[in-house]
Amino acid sequence: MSNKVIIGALVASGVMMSSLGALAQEKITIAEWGGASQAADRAAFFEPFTKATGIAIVDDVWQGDMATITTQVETKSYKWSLVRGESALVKRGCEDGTLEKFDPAVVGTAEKYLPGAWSECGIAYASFSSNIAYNADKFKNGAKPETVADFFDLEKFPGKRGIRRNQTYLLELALLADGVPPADLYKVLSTPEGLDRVFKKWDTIKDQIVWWEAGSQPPQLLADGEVVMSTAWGNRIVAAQKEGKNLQIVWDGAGLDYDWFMMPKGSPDKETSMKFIKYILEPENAAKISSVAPFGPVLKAAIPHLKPEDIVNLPTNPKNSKNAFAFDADFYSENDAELATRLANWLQK
Amino acid sequence: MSTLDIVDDTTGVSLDRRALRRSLHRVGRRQRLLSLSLVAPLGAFTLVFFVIPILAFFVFSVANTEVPRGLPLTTEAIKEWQGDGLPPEGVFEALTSDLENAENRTAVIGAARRLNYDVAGFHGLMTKTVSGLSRGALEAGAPVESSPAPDGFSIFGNDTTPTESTTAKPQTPIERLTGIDARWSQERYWKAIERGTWPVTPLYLLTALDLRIGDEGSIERVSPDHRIYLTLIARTFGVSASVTLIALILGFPLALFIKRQPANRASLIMFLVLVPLWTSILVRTTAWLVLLQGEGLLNDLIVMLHLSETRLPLIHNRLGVLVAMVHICLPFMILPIYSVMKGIPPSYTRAAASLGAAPARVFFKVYLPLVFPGLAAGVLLVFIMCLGFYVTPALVGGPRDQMLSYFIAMAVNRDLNWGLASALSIILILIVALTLLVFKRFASATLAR
Repeated sequence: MSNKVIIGALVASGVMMSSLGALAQEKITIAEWGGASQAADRAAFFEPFTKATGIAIVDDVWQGDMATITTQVETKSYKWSLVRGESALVKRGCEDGTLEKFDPAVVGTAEKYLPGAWSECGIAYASFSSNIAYNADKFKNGAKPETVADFFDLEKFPGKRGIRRNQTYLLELALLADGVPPADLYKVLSTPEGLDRVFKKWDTIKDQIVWWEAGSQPPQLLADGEVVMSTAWGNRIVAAQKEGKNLQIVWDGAGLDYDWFMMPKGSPDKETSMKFIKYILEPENAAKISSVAPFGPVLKAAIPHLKPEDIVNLPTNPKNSKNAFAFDADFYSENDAELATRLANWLQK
Repeated sequence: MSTLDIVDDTTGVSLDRRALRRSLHRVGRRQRLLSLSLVAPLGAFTLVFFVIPILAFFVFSVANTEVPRGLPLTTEAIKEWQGDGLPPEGVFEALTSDLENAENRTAVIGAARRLNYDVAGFHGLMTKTVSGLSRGALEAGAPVESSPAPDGFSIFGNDTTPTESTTAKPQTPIERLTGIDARWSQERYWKAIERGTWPVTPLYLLTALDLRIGDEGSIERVSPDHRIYLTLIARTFGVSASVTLIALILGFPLALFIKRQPANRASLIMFLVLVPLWTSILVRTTAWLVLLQGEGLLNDLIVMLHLSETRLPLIHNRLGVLVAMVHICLPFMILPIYSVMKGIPPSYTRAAASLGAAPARVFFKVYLPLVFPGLAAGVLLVFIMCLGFYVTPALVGGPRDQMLSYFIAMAVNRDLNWGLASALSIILILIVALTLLVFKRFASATLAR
């Protein structure tokens, strides 16, 4: 009896001590996109970083609404220390002045990174791809989808299609399927006729579309059989394969981009966040992301640290990127609001 | 009162009536103060969380401060412009200085965002002009911020050529701006800036009604592929009305059934009706997702029983929204109806029957009017609740099933367009007010009958 009381008191004080410790501990909050890609960062960077430095990392989730960062900066109520996002978001935030600038003396200059992977407003750290993916169990006996055009071919491949409710990749996919070569995509998209062409193409399969918003949805939709094909982020499909799901990636028409860390302007956690940035910029640390998930390193010095088995599913593997295109950050940062409205209106028709 | 003469019984002395009235008044005031202090917290709560936010909506929906804050010199200069042809050179010069003012960068972007609500593409034009001006300044050798503009974002560096190569250096402000982007030679962009300097703007309220100010200054409908909000208002109204009707059709017989059960069983059924109220809306909605999806339980059952060859689309459409919303709203229909029913003595209907009325007549002429207050309360409660639904349609509806609140959230979270969000909120408030008004008329007319 008395033993139990003592143990209870010890446990209780232990709990209190650890919670006090957590209060005193340095921490930063990083907002990412949830699901497998966030798990990859956690395994490759967050956990080893916390182990090495004792600085805790709190995860949060967002879906790329730059307005949420703008609000935090304008009201000076900072929820996030660092935010993960693609090139167009970094470019837009940089132009709008809502992102903190990084000191080149600390993060290095453009030569250290792959082409186009340097900005004063963000740290590129991984390349990733948007792809078409399908559930191979649904096409056991017949032909399997191989091209972007197959995505729109309801006769050959009947069934629902999953698409992200966002203009990114949706625009390019329609034009690629319509026969526009990857190099001309943004030339065509910059004209009103090009945009009309996009939505006319989508009109042909509109009633077969299931819309998704979070990156964790497409693998689920495919595995559940809710859709037979879906747009998805390639790394999520590879993660689902590791869980034993028979999902496959179509590399034709892949859209390539970089993932960045950006810092809301005036962030009070700047100093602590920079410790994290410095950590992931160590070449052997930077390469770790490719061993947990198919994200390519962006730091040139990290490339020699890659293991051969890591590069099979990398979007930058030449075998995969033959018919790929790169998302045009300039096009998106300039036209994003208009494109979003256009898509929202089309959805209401 | 004034003729009343108060006389003390024992002494027979007439009391001063004014003093009495005063003391009576004092007692009354104390009581009034006491009762006021009891409702004061409620009053304060209503003021802070209800009245002030609604007033703020009204202010936000016409506020027009971004352009004067971001482009102060232009705001001053554009007053000179009569509105025909391009503005005078001074306006171009003022805009150039406003855009080159790096100190005021956040406000400039705020103005760009505001102008983009009026003319699509304005945000892009402004950011392009800002970076074009600073690049021009760099080329001219002027001392500008140390770091060069970040170019070559695109992955393979395929798009790094500067868009405008300034071979012959333009000198005048007009040439500088139109050299960076030809859109600066179009009147409509300047007109939008001019509209941005008005003390208040009708922009958001017009947008919420699919209207806009045309280039001639008159109000006109927006182009057909931009018309969404009227449809949206009609849809919000329609979905709410359908849910209310279905809930009434389901709820009324159930309330009647519960009322006719013995007390014990009635309270058990009532408990079952109430249980869903203790579960989060999110959980209840997600449960429908599991039940109704293509590979869900209901479809499994349908296929197993060979009721249909293919799996039916039960979710991500209007059907799914109606089912989930009715489920959530049903208790709010049953509760008021049931509580009114419980207060109606059975002797009334029995009396009507004993006087020879047929059952249908008893029901429509006696019972229904008696239950009417409960019906009215239930219908009103459910209808107004439905108007503001957000999570449920977002989860179980398709893109064409989203209601006003979805677009309010989108305006706030995605577009930072608080003006439009406020305008849409005001429309929602007006619908509620109108509903209450119509209902009050209708209800008092029916009850008076």
